[in-house]
Amino acid sequence: MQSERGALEAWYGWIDGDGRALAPAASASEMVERLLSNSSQVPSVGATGQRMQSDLRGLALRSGLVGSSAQYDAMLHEVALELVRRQLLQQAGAEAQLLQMIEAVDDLNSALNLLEERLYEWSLLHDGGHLRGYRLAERLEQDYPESSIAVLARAVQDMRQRRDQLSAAMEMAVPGVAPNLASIAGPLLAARLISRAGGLKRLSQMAASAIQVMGAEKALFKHLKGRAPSPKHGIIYRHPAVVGAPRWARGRAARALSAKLAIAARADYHSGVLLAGLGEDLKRRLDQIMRAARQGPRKDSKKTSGPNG
Amino acid sequence: MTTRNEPVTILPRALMLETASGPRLATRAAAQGSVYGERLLGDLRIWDPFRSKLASLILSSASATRHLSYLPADCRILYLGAATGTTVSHVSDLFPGGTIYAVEISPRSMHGLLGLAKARSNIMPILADAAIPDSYSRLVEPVDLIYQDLAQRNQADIALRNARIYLKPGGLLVLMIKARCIDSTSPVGEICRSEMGRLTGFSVLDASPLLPYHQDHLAVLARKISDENPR
Repeated sequence: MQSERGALEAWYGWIDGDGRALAPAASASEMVERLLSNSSQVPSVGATGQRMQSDLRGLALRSGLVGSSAQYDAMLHEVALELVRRQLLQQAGAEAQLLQMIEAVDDLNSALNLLEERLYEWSLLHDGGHLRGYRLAERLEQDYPESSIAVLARAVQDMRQRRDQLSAAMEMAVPGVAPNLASIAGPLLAARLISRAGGLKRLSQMAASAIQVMGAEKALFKHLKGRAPSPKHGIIYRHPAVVGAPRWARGRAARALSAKLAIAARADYHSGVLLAGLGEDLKRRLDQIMRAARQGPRKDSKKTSGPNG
Repeated sequence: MTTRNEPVTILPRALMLETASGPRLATRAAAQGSVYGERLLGDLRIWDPFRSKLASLILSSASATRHLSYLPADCRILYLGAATGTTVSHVSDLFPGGTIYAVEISPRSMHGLLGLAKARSNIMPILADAAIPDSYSRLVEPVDLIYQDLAQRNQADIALRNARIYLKPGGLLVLMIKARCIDSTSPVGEICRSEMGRLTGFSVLDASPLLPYHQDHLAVLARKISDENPR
């Protein structure tokens, strides 16, 4: 990393054009701080990537910053380890927490389904009253408190409670990470979108049309093979604007919604500040679509029934 | 496993052992204990060619091994795509007096690598993107060897970009071309030829398909001739 004067910055500090150390860092932790705070990669003057790297070790030895090559390695080792540790900590931020929470809720859901199925099969040996889900668990626990089936029933109920707790915590966490997405899509759908895309960064890089059909990959690839109409919506189907629209207007509503979601994701990733007017814009556009929809399907629109619609 | 014959040295700190289950490659451990579950024989760590591409290169190509054996004991190495450190741990065994700059982009893999680096003072872990060599220019010195094993489509370009900045003239590049990361349908030979064609400023010393250990790979060993002159 060279500046115009020929000075260069290394992990241990600046070295000027004559090989003298300038304002060397006093300790390993100060070096780490400097590396972290100034992480912008200033490209060298002139053609980037054409210059040969300077001999950082030789410069450190000649300027007297380190006494020996072994000492250089030992210090660099200490600094590199601490730097990576700190970088890993920085990355384990709110978004990483949220992603894990979403995955945990999903895992709990599939585990619950599995156990409730087992409980139902088991209940057929007893008189379960042909209930399902949490009512079945409650009933079994009441009616057969001493039996083995109640052990499973209690586990199912307990797990359901934990799932609800975690899900509530997740909904609380979403606006902190993605305020715009949460305001437009609601915390639950926002969390789904982020998780499905593999993080806010990836979601922010996706086209609106990709967000629109996210979760309808099977239908999309069927369509791309030329065998089916294009899917109109994937997981955004759950949004009231889409599921609440009449069938023939759902595609248009989904398109309007996904366009705003794409904007929201970018705002959330790059600034994290709530955009003014995004929600109103969407509402206006949706009203427009609904007004048109009230007059029934357009005459020229073909009667297509997409795989999701 | 018992040693029957005298082990044969192939690199200063790597040996071929004749064991009950056949010949095995091993390195002299620079730190105690098993790193990723590999078998130990005294101070020797068995090096499985099916798990490590460098091990399979050493077993496949005598000429590549010879070139590697000329590297100095205090060799500086830039290792791109260190992952959790399976191969890095053996490179660390090979050059106990050397310095290995181990670049890895995934925080998940870095956790494993960090544990390894703690126990081995010659491994310098770097959490960065190998495609942006400028991002670690404050840490890495000019090196004698660049070893690259990345699952990226522009593998040769990344190797070139790093070599221009960090590889000393006359230094070695070991590039593990993963053909299936570049193109999933074309014949492997074609993909590898085209990638090798990109290595301007290098003379290719050796190219070995890593069969039967690794499918659809080509290990290229090349020497940096000089700094590239942009015309």
